[in-house]
Amino acid sequence: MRPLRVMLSLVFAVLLLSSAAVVWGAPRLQDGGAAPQVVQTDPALNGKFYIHDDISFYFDQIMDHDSVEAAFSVEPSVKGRFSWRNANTEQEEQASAVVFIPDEYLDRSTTYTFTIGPGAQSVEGVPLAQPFTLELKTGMFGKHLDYMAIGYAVIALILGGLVVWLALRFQALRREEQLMDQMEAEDRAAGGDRVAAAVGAVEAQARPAAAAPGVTDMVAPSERGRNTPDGM
Amino acid sequence: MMYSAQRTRMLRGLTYASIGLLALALLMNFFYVGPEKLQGEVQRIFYVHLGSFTGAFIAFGAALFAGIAYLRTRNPKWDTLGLASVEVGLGFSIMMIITGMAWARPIWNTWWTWDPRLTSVTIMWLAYAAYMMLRGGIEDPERRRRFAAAYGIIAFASVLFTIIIIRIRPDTIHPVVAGPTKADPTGGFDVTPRIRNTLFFNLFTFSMIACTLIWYRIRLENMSERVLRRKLQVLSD
Repeated sequence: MRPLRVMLSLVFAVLLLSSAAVVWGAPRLQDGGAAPQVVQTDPALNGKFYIHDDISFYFDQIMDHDSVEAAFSVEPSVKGRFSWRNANTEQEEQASAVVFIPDEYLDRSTTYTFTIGPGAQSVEGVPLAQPFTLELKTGMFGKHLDYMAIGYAVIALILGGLVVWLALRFQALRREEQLMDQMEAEDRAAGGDRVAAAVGAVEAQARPAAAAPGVTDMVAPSERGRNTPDGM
Repeated sequence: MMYSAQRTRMLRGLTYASIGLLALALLMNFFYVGPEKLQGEVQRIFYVHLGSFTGAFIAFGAALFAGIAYLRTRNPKWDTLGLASVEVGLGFSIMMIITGMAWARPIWNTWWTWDPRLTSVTIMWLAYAAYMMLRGGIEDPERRRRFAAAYGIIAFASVLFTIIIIRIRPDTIHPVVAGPTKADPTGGFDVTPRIRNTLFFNLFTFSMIACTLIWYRIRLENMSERVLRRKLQVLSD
C-alpha cells in the first residue's frame, strides 16, 4: 500500500504544480500600475504574412486608444484604420487588442516594420515599458494558392480535353470522308464498273509479279480490300 | 449537310472571340482582381466556378428548348442540338463540381459534404448522365429522339432545383452571391467593383465558350451522320 500511496501523492503533486504553472504563466491583463507591453501579435514574428492580412497587437492591459493609435507607425508607409477588440468583453473601450486594417493590399515580397512607440499608454496612463517593433515580410501570393492552382488545372484539363476530343473526332471523320471522295472519284474514272475493276485487280494480284510488272499499279489503291470491312 | 461559307465564317469568328475572351478573363482573374481578404487566392476559383455553372445552365437550357422544338416540329436538327447541348453541359458541370471541391477544401476543410446545394448538383449531373444512357439504350431513331426530347425537358427541373435550393433551405453552407436567401430576404450583391466586373466578364466568356462548343458538337454530329449515310450508300451499291 505504501508505494501506491507515494505514487498517487507524486501524481497529485505533479498535477497541482502543472496546473499552477499554467494559471501563473497564462497571459493576463495586469491590474494596472505596471508598464503595459505587447504580449502577442497576429501574424507572429516570422509567421506567414499575406498581402491581404490585417495585423493584430495584443497588450497585457486595457489600453488608451488614442495614444496607441498616435504612437503607431508603419515603414514603408501604409494607410489604414484601427479596430479594437477584447476576447473577454464586447465593450470596445475595454479592449486590450488593436487591429490595424490596411486600406489597400500590401505590396508583394516587401518587409514592413510596425512600431508602437513609447507614447502608447494604458488607460491608467502608464506608458509602454519600451517601444515595440515587429518586422514582417509579405509573400508573393495570398493564402491557398495551391488550391487555386488545382481549380484552374481542372478547368484547363476538362476544357482542353473537350476541345482535343472534338478536334480528333473531326479529323477522323474528315479522313473517312476524303477516303470516300477518293473512292467515288476513282469509280467515276473507271466508268463506274467497279465489279470489273475488282475482278481485274484480283486477277492482277494472282499473276506472278515478274510476268506482269507494274500491273497492280493500274488498280486504284482504294479498290484494294474494298470488299472487306477493314477497307472502309 | 453542307454549310454556307457565311456560317463557317461566323463559327470561326466565334471561336477566335472565345479564345480571346478566355485569355482576357484569365488575365482579369489573376491580375486585375486581387485576392479576397478572408479567403485568399482560392477565391479566384469563384470566377470560373460560377462561369462553368453559367455554361452548364446555357447548355441545359438549350437542351430544354431543343426538346420542346423537337416535340413540336419533329425535325431531327433539334435532337442534334439537344444531344450536343447535354454533352457540353455535362462537361461544364464537371468543371463546376471539381472547382467547387478545390475551393471547399481550404474554406470548409473538406473536399465534399452532403450540403443541400452539393446534393442537388449531384442529382442534376446524374439526371443528365442518364439522358446519355437513355439515348444509348433505344435503337429506333425516331423513338430515341422523342424520348430524349421529353427527358431533356423534364431533366431541366433538376437545374432549377439546384438554383433555388440554397435560397429556400436555411441549413446550407454554400454561399449565395446574389439574390434573396432565408437569412436575407431582400437579397443583395455586396462585392467590390473589380470583383463584379471580373465575375460578369467570366460569365459572358463561359457562355460564349459553351455556345461555340455546342455549335462545333452539332457540326460533328452532322458530319458523323453524313459519313454514316455515305458508308451505307457505298455498301449498298
